[in-house]
Amino acid sequence: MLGALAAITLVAVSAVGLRVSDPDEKKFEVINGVIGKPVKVNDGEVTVTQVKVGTILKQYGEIQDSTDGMFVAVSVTGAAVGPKRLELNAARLLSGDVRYEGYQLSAGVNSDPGFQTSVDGLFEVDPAQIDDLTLEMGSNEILHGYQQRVRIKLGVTRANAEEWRAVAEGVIEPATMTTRAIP
Amino acid sequence: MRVLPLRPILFALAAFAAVLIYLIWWVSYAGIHYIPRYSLRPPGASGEVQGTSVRLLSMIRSDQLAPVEGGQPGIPEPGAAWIVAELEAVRHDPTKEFLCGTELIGPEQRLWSTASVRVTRSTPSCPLDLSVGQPVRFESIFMVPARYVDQLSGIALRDDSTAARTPVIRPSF
Repeated sequence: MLGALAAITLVAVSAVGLRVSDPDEKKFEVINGVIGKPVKVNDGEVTVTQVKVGTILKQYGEIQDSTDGMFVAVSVTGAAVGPKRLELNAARLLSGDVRYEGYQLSAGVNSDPGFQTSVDGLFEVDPAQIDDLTLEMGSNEILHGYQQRVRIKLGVTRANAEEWRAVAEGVIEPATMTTRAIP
Repeated sequence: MRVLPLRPILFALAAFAAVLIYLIWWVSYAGIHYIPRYSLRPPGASGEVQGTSVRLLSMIRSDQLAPVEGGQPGIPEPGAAWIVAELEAVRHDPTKEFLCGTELIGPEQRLWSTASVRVTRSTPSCPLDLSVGQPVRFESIFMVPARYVDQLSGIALRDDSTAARTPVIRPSF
């Protein structure tokens, strides 16, 4: 009885110790990429092809919403080039310590083996905090091991952020999702 | 000469053995449950899943899906083709329910789930409340890249509630 209690106590102390000593350590592998070039992640490739900005959101031929901030639509293509399904269903934008989650549920991209899916992931951001804007994509899993996450810089830098803010005035119309077999 | 403390040593050995047994059990469990294992059935033979025998009657490729009421056919995505699998199910265990978990297997264990088709078909996609002993035909439709159409292995009858090998059925021709 005493031995079992000692074992449980030791395991608990070890778990707490590991957690306390390592609170901010990344639990995933970061794969960096740049806009326009495919990045290999998990069993596929992901490519950012275009970034669009605006303040008035138009979808399905109608004005859906407007913002005092800025909408950013990131055109992403995910290709399941390997034998497994590509699942990058979690997408967010990063700017320093600021995280912007997807404005709509379909910001991520999934593809069955041999297919590629293109989607415009939509985000609403604070125009004052867009320096080094980076798309981060990974998979949503309740239980997971050591994940891979891809981070692709979108070409918004401290030097050109003002230009992006200037062109954001207007309508933004994200494209609908398309799927095709990988050529 | 100093006598070794036998009880602490035995206790440490017992703890080590318990941890080892746990690790072996976990590795075995993970290997069985998380790595897909398949059992390829002979051509035309049925597979057993959820108390039901399922046979693959035919598996044909099509570039269009004809709707039962006429109108526009279903067209696959560019570079892809439809695979229409006609199956026959016979339920023999009234305590279990067949849930139509079919997947198409391609090269290197590529898996495709049934596709969402926007046309109404004459054959049902999943028969519910099967009567015991009564054969029922249904079809599963998949969309696969055209370049894999000639490399398909068969239909996997998936059942996540069991650790048994997943049967893969094939047509008789």
